[in-house]
Amino acid sequence: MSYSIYEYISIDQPFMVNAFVTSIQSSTFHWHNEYEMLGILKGSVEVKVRSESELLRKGELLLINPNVFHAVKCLEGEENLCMIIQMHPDLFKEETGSGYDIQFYLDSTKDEIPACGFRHLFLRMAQVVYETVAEDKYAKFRARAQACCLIVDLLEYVVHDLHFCEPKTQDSKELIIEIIHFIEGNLAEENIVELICKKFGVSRKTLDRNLKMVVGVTVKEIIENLRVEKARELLKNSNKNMNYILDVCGFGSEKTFYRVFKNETGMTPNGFRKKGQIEYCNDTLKDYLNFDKLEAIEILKEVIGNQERNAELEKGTTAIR
Amino acid sequence: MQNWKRERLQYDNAAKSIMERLSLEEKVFLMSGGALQEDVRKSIQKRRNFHYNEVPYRAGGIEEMGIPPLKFVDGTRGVVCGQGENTCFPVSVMRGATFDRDLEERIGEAMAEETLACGGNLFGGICVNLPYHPGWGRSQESYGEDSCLLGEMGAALIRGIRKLGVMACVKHFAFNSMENARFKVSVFCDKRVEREVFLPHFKKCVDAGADAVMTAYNGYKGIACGHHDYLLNQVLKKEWDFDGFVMSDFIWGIQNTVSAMNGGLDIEMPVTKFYGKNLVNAVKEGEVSIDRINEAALRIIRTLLASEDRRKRMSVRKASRCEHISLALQCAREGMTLLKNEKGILPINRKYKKRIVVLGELAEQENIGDHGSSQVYPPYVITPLQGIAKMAEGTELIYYAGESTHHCRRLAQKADIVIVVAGNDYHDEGEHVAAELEKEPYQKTGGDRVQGLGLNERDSRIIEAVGTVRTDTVVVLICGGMITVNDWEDKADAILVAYYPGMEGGTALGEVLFGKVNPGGKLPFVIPEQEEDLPEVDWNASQVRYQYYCGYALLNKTGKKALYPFGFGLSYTRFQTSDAKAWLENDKIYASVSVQNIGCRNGDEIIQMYVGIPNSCVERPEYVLKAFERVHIPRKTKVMVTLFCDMDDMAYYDEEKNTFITEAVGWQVYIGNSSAREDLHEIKLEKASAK
Repeated sequence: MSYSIYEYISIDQPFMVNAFVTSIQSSTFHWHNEYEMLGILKGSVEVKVRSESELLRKGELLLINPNVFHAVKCLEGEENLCMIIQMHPDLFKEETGSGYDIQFYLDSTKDEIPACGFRHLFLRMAQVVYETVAEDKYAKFRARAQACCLIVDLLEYVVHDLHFCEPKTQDSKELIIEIIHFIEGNLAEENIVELICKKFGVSRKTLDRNLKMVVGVTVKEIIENLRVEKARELLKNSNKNMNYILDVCGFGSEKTFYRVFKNETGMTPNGFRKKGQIEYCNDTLKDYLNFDKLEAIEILKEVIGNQERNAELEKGTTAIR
Repeated sequence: MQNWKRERLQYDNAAKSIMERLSLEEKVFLMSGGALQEDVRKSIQKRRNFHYNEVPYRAGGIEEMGIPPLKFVDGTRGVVCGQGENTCFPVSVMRGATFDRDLEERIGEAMAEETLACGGNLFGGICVNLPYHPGWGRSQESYGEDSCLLGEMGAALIRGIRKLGVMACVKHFAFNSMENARFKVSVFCDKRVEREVFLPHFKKCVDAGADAVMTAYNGYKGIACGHHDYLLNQVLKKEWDFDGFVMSDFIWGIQNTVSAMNGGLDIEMPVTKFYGKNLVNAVKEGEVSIDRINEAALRIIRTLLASEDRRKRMSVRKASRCEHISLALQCAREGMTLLKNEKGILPINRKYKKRIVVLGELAEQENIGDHGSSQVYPPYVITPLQGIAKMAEGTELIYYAGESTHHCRRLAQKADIVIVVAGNDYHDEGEHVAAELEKEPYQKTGGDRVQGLGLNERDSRIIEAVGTVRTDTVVVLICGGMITVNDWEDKADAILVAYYPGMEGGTALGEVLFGKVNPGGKLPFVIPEQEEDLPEVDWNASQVRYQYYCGYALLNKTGKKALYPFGFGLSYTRFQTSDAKAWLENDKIYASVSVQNIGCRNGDEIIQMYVGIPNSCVERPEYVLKAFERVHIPRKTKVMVTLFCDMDDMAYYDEEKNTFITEAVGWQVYIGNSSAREDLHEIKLEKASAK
């Protein structure tokens, strides 16, 4: 089984947005070329962006920029329901091929409030997502229209800057995908970093700088993450003993294995195995769980209804715009 | 007699013989434009699907009599006609900052080629009004605050325009230094102010061969400039012996048929309102003499014939857009003016400055100047940000518009270098285009800078925010008129004035910031310590009185130190001036100085000669600019620069005798690389030292 952490989001529709509502159990560290917005309808989730971890509660939202490493996890024993909107970067540009990336700074757990307020954007998300669960004939088109409104609001109200990258950066993206594939295939090697440097002809310093620039983490962080993921997989779906697992995952010593594993998962390897969870696997939506659609619709309706009432109240005074 | 004059007057007889066959109505037909007022007005208000002057404005023309029509093309930063075809050069004020006459002449040729390519034969984009106060909204259209600079650059442009047989029209005659009140204000001043401060540069343009003169909207001493017998008949046509024609500023430049015609205005532009049949009637009623009609017709026909013939003689090569654009780029490179560069923060070294943060909304604006009658529609514009991005290879370049000061600080903290692009755009200054309907939401577009000369809130708060984190910011100023810097100067290690640098301005800016090009522009205006050091101004006045002193001359007079003097600008190399000399020869005042490039880069330096007459029998400025030269000096080399002016250039105007008086009571000659006293060598020149 492959653990590729680069997620190709296939967008097989003319409009390059994926929007859906889902329950999340856990996703491994991954990154993709799309913007991803997360809005919590119920419960809470733990989101790890680059090396930072934070808790996102009901009513909160977060935008993850393209090509940034991230992982999402549910909280033990709590159900959650999340809105997810993935948007292609080209939708944010007047013309394609302009040599920069737009980076947004949107995180409702931080006190950097966008000019329109967080609630307004949460409503926008709900409006987009609602159309994807609504049954009427033209919902798909409404979803597109709502997504466009969301994009405009992001551009108009949310702090964002442009990052110019030379054509070289695009090359280094490709290179990093290759490097990560290489890591996945060579996790058992303890001196894996040296192997990378040798194979790809880069110094450790350049390697870390490129990784930091493209995906925001160091090579050590990527390796540890992949090792833990592989260990989890083996603990769950095999009967291999601990020594075998720590060997093929390249942890080197039992001590390191326990420390790193606990750090990443909050559990010891043994504890994890005992829980014996079977991961839900869905071919189209990676790591997204089944959920009660009717419940989702009810919550979305409530969000939209509430916001509309609020807007009604604010009318004539200092409204959102 | 100058060649151009001989050439023009040569068509006197041909013109007269055509005139013999013309009826009164036909002669009068030559004297006004054929455009529709609705089209002209609504197009400048952006309410038409074609822009102002998209095609040349026609006047007159009777082909069967051999009289070509006049086809007016507006400017000043390029040719206004067309859509996405013509070159947008840096605005005139930046071209003034180059102090480069040869370049301006070549730009004139390029503009003439484009004028011809779009079917025009008269270029009206030569503006030499002296901004009495730098808040004047259209300062960008003129070459700066000094009469000598204005005259020299205007004359250079005229020479270039005329080379290809395009007629050159100089404007706005005269005293046009206020925008918002331009239709109502009347300027008053003493004769000496008129003759020594506001008119000499116009005379220089006429002496350079200007074919036409456009009058101003404002009045002078209570009379509309378009009706001004004294200015037009007495000064321009008689005293200066101007043989071309006079045209009105557009639509509002004329208010009365008889006063305008008798006042010396030959052509009403660009529509026929007061002339045409009204003028025919005025002649029939005896209010305008047939002699006056004949005079105007002769001026028009003669000038048209001369330029038509000249055009035919010149084998006009097909205008090459590429060459014109590279000329625009060269001009932007030469005009960039570096005011401050502490610790050598510029040029940016990409080896050490890995993370470059650019802040400010203007960085991504295609900002080539105002949106008035001088707006040019080029095929593309390189923004400051694009220009920086082109040069920032191998670095991480981040741009943020700057709305959130919190984010500005966050970016500034992590940056190796911060560039703030600040200044103005067409909302803040420029030609004032008044909205017509009351119900239209009032939005300030252009006009004078009535709110003051500092940076607007949007930009100053960015500099302020970054200043709390670091003080080595690079500030790039985008502007037409002077911007005061005293409020935030201590928060910047470098200040670079980029003006409105034209369609390739962003490229030039990037090249200068990263050291591919060594800046060599000099300020064409003074930047005072504070705005209060400048002349008083009431932008809404119906009457103003202009005093003798303005600009750097005023600061010298009042003993105020300039923060950045007129004629000042730094380079990435260093120049040392020495061995200054001055002497008299053939009624000319000469000065020379040795200039050595003691740095390790090639560079341009602009050597300036100022003259004063301390023993004059009248009050005079301490010194004024009389000559300048831009010289390229390779590193570690030395050149000798010699400048001169006529003794008559230092004459004062005797208000009683109504004539210029040249004094021979000794001169104080100054030569150096800025107008600041400490940058000048002073040489005392006694009359006795004359040959």
